Amino acid sequence: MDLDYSKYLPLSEATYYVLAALQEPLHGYALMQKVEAMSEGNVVIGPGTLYGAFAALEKQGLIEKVSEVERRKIYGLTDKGRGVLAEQVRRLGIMVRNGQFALSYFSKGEAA
Amino acid sequence: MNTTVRKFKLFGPHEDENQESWLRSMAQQGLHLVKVNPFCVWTFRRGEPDDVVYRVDFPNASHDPDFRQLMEDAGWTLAATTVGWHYWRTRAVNGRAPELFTDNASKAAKFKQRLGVLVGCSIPFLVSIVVSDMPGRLGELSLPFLVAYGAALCFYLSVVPWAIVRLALRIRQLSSPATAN
Repeated sequence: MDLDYSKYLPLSEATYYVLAALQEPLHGYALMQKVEAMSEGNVVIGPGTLYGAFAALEKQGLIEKVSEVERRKIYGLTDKGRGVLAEQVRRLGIMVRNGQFALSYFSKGEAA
Repeated sequence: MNTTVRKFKLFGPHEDENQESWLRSMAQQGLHLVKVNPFCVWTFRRGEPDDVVYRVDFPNASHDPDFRQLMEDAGWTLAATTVGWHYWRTRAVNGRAPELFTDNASKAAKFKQRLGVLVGCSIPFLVSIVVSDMPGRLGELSLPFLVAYGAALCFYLSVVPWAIVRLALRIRQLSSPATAN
C-alpha cells in the first residue's frame, strides 16, 4: 500500500496512543483506561479529546467501527491505520536513537 | 432555611476555567448547580459541601448519544444545560480534577468551533441592520422600541467583537508552537 504519510504524521501523543491501544478493538471508555495504564499514567485522554480523535481518525479511515455492544461503538484499526502507526513507530525509533546518542554524549562529557 | 439559591453571574465565552472553578467552589460550600438560564442566572440547591468538579461543553458533542454514553461510562453526569451549553459534573477523587479536553490541540478546536458559532449567530443580526436600513428609519420608531433596539445594537457592537477577540486570543495561545501537542 502506497500512502502519503505526510498527511497523517506526526501523530499527536493522544492520537498515537489511541491507534496503539486499538491493537484490539475497544469502546471509548475502555480505551481511555487502557491508554492511561499502558502509558504508565503519562497520557490521560479526556472524553472530549477522545471523541474528537475518534471522529477525525474515522474520517481519515485510520479506524473503523467494528461492532456495537450495549449502545457502545467498538472501534478497531484499519489496514491504513496500521500502516500509519508502523511508519510513526519507525520514525520514533530513529528519534529515540538520536536522542539517546545526544544524551550519552553529554554524560560522557561530564565524566571526563 | 431556603434550599434553593439563585445567583447572577456573567462569564465571557472564553472563560471556561473561571466558570468551572466558580461552580466547584460553590459545591465546596454546599451549593450544587441545578440549572442555569441564558441570562446567566444560576440556580443552586443547598446540600452537603462536596468536592465536585464541573466542566463546560459547548458546542462539542453533548447532544450525541455516543458522547453521552462515553461521559456516563467515565463517571460524569449532566448537571445543567442552557442554549447548547452543557455543564457536566463528577466527584473529585483525592483532589484529582478530570478534564474533558486533555491536550492543547483539542482545547483549541473547542474554542475554534465556539468562535464559528458566535460569528455565525451574529451575522444574521448584522445583515438585518443593513438590509432593513434601520439607521435611516430610526425616526419612525416608537421610543420603547428605539431603546430596545439601541441596547441590542450596543450589545452586538461591543460585546460580540470583544468576545471574538478574546476567543481568538485563546486559540492563538493554545496553538503556539511551544505549547502545541
